[in-house]
Amino acid sequence: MKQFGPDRQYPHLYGSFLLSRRAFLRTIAIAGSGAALSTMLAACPAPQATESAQPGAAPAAADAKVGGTYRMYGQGDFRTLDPPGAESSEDWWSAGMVLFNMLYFYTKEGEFYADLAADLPKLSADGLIYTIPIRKGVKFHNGRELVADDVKYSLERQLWPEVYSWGKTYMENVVGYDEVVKGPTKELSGIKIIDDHTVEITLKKPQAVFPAILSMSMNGIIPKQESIDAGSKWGSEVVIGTGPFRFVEWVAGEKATYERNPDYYKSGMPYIDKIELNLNVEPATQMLHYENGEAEWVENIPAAELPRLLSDAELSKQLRRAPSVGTNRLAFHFKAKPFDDLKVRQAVAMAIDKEGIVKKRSGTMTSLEGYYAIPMLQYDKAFKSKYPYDPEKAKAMLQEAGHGDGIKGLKLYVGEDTEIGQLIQADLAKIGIEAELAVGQWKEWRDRIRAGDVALFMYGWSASFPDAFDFTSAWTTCASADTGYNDGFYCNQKIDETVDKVEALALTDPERVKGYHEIEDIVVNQDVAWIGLNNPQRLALGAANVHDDFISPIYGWPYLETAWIEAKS
Amino acid sequence: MTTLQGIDKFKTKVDQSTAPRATTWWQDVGQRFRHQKVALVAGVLFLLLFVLCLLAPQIAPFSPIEQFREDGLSALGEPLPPNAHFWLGTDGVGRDLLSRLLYGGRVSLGIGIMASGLSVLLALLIGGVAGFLGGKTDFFIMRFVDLVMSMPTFFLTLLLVVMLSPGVWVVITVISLFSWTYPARILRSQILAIKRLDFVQAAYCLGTPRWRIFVRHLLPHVLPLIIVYLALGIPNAIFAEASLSFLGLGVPPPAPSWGSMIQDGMSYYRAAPWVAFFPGLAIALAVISVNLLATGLREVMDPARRGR
Repeated sequence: MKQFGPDRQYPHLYGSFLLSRRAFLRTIAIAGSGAALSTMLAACPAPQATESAQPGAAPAAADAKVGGTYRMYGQGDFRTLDPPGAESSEDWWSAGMVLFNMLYFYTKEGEFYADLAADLPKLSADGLIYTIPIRKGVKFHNGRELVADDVKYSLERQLWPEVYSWGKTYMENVVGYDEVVKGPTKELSGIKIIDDHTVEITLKKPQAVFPAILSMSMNGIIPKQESIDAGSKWGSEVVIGTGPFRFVEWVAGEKATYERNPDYYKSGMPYIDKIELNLNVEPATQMLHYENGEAEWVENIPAAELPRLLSDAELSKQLRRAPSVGTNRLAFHFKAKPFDDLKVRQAVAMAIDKEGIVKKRSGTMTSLEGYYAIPMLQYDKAFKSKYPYDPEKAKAMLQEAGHGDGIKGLKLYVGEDTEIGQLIQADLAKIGIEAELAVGQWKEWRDRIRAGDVALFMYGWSASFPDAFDFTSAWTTCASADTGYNDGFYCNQKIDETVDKVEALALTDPERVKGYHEIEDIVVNQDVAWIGLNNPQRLALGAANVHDDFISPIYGWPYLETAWIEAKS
Repeated sequence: MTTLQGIDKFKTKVDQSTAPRATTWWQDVGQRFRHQKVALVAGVLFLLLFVLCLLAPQIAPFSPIEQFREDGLSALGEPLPPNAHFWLGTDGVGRDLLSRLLYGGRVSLGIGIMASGLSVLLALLIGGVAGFLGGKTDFFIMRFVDLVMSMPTFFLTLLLVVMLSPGVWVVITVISLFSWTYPARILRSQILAIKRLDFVQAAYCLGTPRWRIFVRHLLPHVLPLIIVYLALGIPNAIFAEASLSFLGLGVPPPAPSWGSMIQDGMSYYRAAPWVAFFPGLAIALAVISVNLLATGLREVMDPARRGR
């Protein structure tokens, strides 16, 4: 499925830290203090213009909301504020959610919406050509209006060999990609400017998730001429976007300041006057600042502090939560005994006490029936696993499979989290499966996992956007055994066929969603290819007088265009 | 005849009831040891710990690996503090700490004693052979000892354990592999000294086989040293085991050992300090008591220290 999309070189796994280019996903690790919302979020409000509901806060007139400084802390420094190069938590969020916009974006509920695009793209009958209308009247921070030329330039520039971008390969399905990536061709032949407010993008193969790829921050829209004029100062001293806040300054290693963009295209927004992002601050120090009232928001909550926060009446109210786009799973090796037997896999599925893991993590994750993350388009609240927790039945099933005396000598890879590992180990022991824990970094164990020597493994991974394609193409298809992270060599042709079929449809086509529901059913209930354990939440602390600073499931940092600070009386 | 008469005379003069009786070396050690009050108390304490751990299957209130997810964890999934049900509280996955402590002691003390024993055995073989044979053999063996002593042992231990995959016997072997050198040097020099004494030379002259000389005439004379270094080695081995377990290279989970229990408790050092405190206390008690016992034994047994 590689031709279909993102080149997934960076799965996120328990404890191990593979995401060198984007440190943010660290927080998804089951071990760390994950982040956010256990319950399904309320129905999605209309995406942009309307202000999202403000639970608990008195609806204030827009003017009354304006003002205040939002102080926050980051653990690292920026690499650059150039959208394709911004890759650590702090600069990635600054580029992706504060200073720039992309053509499309996701709401806090995971709803896909047209941001700098005026509408969802029009897809040609053969599924190859996307026609994207561009919003009129959007102004860059210097006052110039955004035109299609800027869009084309932004999308092709990040592919140039001399421009550093963490996400080039996501665009490999666009016609002309290879010539631009290798150079010296500068123009991406797959992008055509129809008029000042329309572009047309031609793909090599149908790819439903292409609009979702346009929502990723490496495709942030920058002003063509201004960025060329800035030369080497672009991204550090000169930063001009269309986002809700304007760049003021970045003092390397110390702090960055942004101010309110009064001409933001979403009228009335944003409300906060100024953002102060302090850099290179240790998590423990961040907590101290926060508890001293010197911060409106901290994201790096030390795991050990979590129970204390949750049991503190005041602090627990200030805890912001949102489901992440990652999940943790327990997977089987399909070519290794005894997991080549469906009955054994069913027994294991019924043996795992998913709620026990959630309780152990103080309820900062949600146990899953299927395997899609909650913010995903294809997440099905009504989906039920046919193999709920039932150790007695699991034992009987194991006996039926001819393992009445139990199974010995297995290895269970658990990343670096021995605590959760021991919970699962004990669950397995209860039905007679004796498994030794394999602990350590994923790259040290992967060969043995693929070889079937470690036939049971716990993997965690975070998607790049809230769409099940990302998981499916990396985990579930036959091809993903070679190109993705299907290390248990699970292969069911029906899934590959379904993916091929639905990926030719539009992103939000109900038929496409239905196709992914079918895949989930095959994986979880028919083949028991793996067990979806849980969806960790993203967590952060937000001051009590700040409202609507929702956590983004993707970035783990807040949406500040909606946030407003209530003056302390 | 006068001499003989003189002796007889002397004999008659002695009051049998007050005469110092001939004491064996062991009796002498026993008498001296009785004055080592600290060592005596330490010995009793260590014995107590040892017996408690030995009887773990009989006296532990729960299984050391059973997870009480409902009543052994707080609503937020935290360990429970000491209470009437779990006397020392529970650990991160709701297991009874007291039971784990008792079972863990079997591992920690067992490995401590076994590893120390194995290292002294190695020391005796290598140091003994070097001292006994002397000459070039001695030279090469002792240079080898120097070589081993100059190695960064802890890192080599880590490396070996990782390569051989952790387990009780691997840990015992690897710990003893790097802790035999010091006693080996001591034993060698002692044997070097003893083998020149007249009674050993006499045995040579009588044609006694060398192995017999070693076993019957030399070994008894270094036995006190062996006992002292056996005791001195235990705390080091306990520490080494705890360090390895702390780094996740000891006995594999879920089996407890004191070192791995401290490791389990590290993430709760603020929220639930007892999880790491009790195994830490157990290690401290075991190590201090064996150390004091060993020091006392050395005072009364080590030929170099006796009579001071």
